[in-house]
Amino acid sequence: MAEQQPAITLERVCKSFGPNHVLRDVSLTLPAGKILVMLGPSGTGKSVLLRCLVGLMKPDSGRIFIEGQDITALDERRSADREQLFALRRKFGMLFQDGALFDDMCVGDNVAFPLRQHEKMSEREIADRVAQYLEAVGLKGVQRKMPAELSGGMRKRVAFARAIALRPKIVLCDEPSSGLDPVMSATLDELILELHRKFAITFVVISHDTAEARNIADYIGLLYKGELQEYGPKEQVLRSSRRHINQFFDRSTDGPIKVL
Amino acid sequence: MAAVICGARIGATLAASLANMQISEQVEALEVMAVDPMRLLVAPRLWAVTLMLPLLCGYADVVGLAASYYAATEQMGVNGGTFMEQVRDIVHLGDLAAGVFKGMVFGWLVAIVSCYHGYRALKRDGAEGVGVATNRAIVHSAVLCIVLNMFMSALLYVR
Ligand SMILES: Nc1ncnc2c1ncn2[C@@H]1O[C@H](COP(=O)(O)OP(=O)(O)OP(=O)(O)O)[C@@H](O)[C@H]1O
Ligand SMILES: [Mg+2]
Repeated sequence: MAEQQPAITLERVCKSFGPNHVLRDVSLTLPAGKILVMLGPSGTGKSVLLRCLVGLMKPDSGRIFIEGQDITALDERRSADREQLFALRRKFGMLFQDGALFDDMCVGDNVAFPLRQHEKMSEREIADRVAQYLEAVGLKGVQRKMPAELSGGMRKRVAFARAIALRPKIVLCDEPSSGLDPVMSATLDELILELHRKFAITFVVISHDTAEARNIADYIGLLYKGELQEYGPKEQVLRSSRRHINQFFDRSTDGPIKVL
Repeated sequence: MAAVICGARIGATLAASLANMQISEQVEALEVMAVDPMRLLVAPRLWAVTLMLPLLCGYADVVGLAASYYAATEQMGVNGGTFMEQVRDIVHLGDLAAGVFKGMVFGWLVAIVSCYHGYRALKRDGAEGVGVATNRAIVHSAVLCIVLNMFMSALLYVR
């Protein structure tokens, strides 16, 4: 069955910027419909990994498969490939680390944007969906505000609502919980779980928050200095005796992860 | 002249807005949403400026004419009718058409140049990148317009 295909497969992905080797030989397989929480200290290439997943950056070597299709083989300058790339990207919703809201549009239009682009929905249905998702992220009735009028945490939540508006099959979240208070970030975790249950969405969530990993993850990965130190189903990773993951979960300064 | 001034202004705005979208990842967000940023961001700006700049030039012509009419009649005491006759003698319809045509060409040029510089801004350049892109857009638009103007004048009037 096609459903059994893994949502995301990485094969020995490497990416460097000049002398800066950001990803080294990252390989992983994420089954469809699972939640992966990717942990890792700041600056180890988590955001770069997400960019590679959606084809915004091209790995120097290695391959990335999205539901079996090789996204690294597509060259966006060739128009036939570009169409395929866009077709692939429709499976994705992405929450950028800084939100990346369109600042010339109000909040409502931001969330409605992907719907207007890709769905044949009436304005009424769109407005309903927008209101529903904004309410779900605790932002009822902010539709007419402009992004510049919102706080950082509010912007992030709007961006999350926009990322899930199309109910994509795979949602990538770059640090959804940073900048949010504990209650709000727990609410967002709940929402991720609910969406996951209702629509079988695959999530890749980047986080520094081990509690979040414990709560929502099916799979946990730990990225450090561009290498995947630890990866696997949650239970297995939590039982692991590797020092990287233990240090992270113990919030300790004593261990292999160094602050340079 | 009007085209160059307006063009530089418009170009600056275009470049700044695109560069800003580029550094705040908005362009990438579009790409991820499977929307072609060229079609959504660049194409409409191109059309808008190409079509509107000639109108602006026409507007500038009218304002200029009105101002000189006022100056001539009120300050220098020239008879209104005489002034209009003189204008009709000196200004030909062809000149106006040439003005509109040049406006379109300049508009197109300014839009292309400015969108190019705005679009090329890189995220790692940050806010400074917006300034650089804007600056380049103004300078290149103005210079190109002036150079092109010489060629076009030569072509349009030599005939
Ligand atoms: N476009 C780029 N050009 C050059 N270097 C880059 C680029 N993007 C990222 N890097 C480098 O890649 C490394 C990893 O960056 P990345 O943004 O992936 O970190 P991160 O793990 O997301 O950190 P954080 O948790 O702070 O967001 C950094 O050293 C950064 O300097
Ligand atoms: Mg990051």
